[in-house]
Amino acid sequence: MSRVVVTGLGVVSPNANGVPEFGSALREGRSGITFQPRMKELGMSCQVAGAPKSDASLLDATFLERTLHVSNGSMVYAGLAAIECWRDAGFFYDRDVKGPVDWETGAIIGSGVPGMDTIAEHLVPMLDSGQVRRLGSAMPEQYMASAPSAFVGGLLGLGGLVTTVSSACATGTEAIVHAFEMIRAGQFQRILSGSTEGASVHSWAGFDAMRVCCRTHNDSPEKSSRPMSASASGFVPAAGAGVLMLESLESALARGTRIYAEVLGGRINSGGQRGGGSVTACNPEGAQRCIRQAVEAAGVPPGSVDYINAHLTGTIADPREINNLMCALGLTPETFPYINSTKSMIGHALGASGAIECVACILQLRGGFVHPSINCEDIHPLLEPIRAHIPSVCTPAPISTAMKVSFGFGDVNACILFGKWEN
Amino acid sequence: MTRAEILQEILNILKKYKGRGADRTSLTESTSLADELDIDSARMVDIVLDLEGKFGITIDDSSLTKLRTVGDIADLVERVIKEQKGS
Repeated sequence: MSRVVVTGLGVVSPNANGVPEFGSALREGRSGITFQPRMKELGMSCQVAGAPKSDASLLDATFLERTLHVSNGSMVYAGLAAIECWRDAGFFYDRDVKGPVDWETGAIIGSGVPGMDTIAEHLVPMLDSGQVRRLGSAMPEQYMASAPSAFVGGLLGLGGLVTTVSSACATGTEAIVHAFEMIRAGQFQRILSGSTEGASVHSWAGFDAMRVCCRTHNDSPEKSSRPMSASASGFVPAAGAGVLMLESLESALARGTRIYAEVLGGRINSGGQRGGGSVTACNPEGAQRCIRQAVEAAGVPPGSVDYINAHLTGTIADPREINNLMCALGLTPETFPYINSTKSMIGHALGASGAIECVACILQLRGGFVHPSINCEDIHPLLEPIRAHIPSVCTPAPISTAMKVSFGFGDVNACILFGKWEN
Repeated sequence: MTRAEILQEILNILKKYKGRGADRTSLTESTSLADELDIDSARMVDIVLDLEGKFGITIDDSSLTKLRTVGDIADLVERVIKEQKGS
């Protein structure tokens, strides 16, 4: 079995474009949540969201005009994050040069609903108005489920496995666990793994209708995403992408490239929508099994996890999640590790959340800090016992083992552990 | 419209469909759409839609597969303009 390491990172986030800026934003506790006039026009109760800032010069420098002509938001975010990751890992990309096929690298780029904006804003209106002939050639490549991975594969000439996974809000972490297992089994040397989600009001509207989005802070967007807070009233929808280059240790050492962290182990499962679980709720036994088995797969004692980047969305599920973590790891409030929610700054990027938050996880592991979990100064009463483990400011912390957990509709769970790499 | 005017409009349309590595390709009537501009048959559908919009014509779908070069497009547009507009 090969050891697996992380050799590249890329991110498009509501509070930063690119890894260096994202690292600064995390340290500062910078919110990327803004008021969204379109959500107000549509009569949505939640009118704030985390939408990455459009950077025309970055787009122009990265993509040809014809590429943007046939791409939707989830594809562009995936492309930007993958290209940053690819270059970060030491590989060449030029928008004007079509390089050779790299048979040793694949891509697993997941998404929740990758083609929603294409379907809602182009396909349906044109079809309904009798313009089917004028749809052009680029609809399927934008609304097919595998649009993000196909887009990335074409940009970079990837000749390994190129696929998309989808497991709602567990998607990103699941993609990275899959990549880890394939490299560990010796099937590929490298896999760009992560996830993406477009900034689609049509996607967000469904959650708004479920009354699970924040509706109390439309006039104070930066305060709206409130994981672990007593006044949390729902999650703030968001968008973006995160991509990690996972690579066999042998390949990374042979290339002499920088190693960010080691992937120690991971697990994916489902609670079976039983025992309190449903399509929208988590069976505690399933979540705890997932966490426990991920720790076992990583081969570390449960007590050695010294930082958790949690799923924590700002809903009534937050205290249950903390309880599941505590039970699974066999910890007490006193022995609980540092924990935070990146969503407090960027909102819930749905299918993209796991991957963006894995990037955050690795930056903290490598940088020796824990970012503030903002907007929980009025901590939920059930979480009062672990208050000391939730940083309100950026806190230096020599992390050796970091855990990322993600949970999704369908009662699905994903957990992965990263270990500090000493070069 | 003269052939030169038609050709200029076609070249303007083709600019936004050129693929990677095609930037330094100078466009002439003999330029190959697939080999030199990296334009595949799917993208020809979009180019035809643009041509229809620009010249106010309707191009039969069966024509798409016969287009190999920039000159082929000019020939097609010239012929269809004559058929549908009489000039």
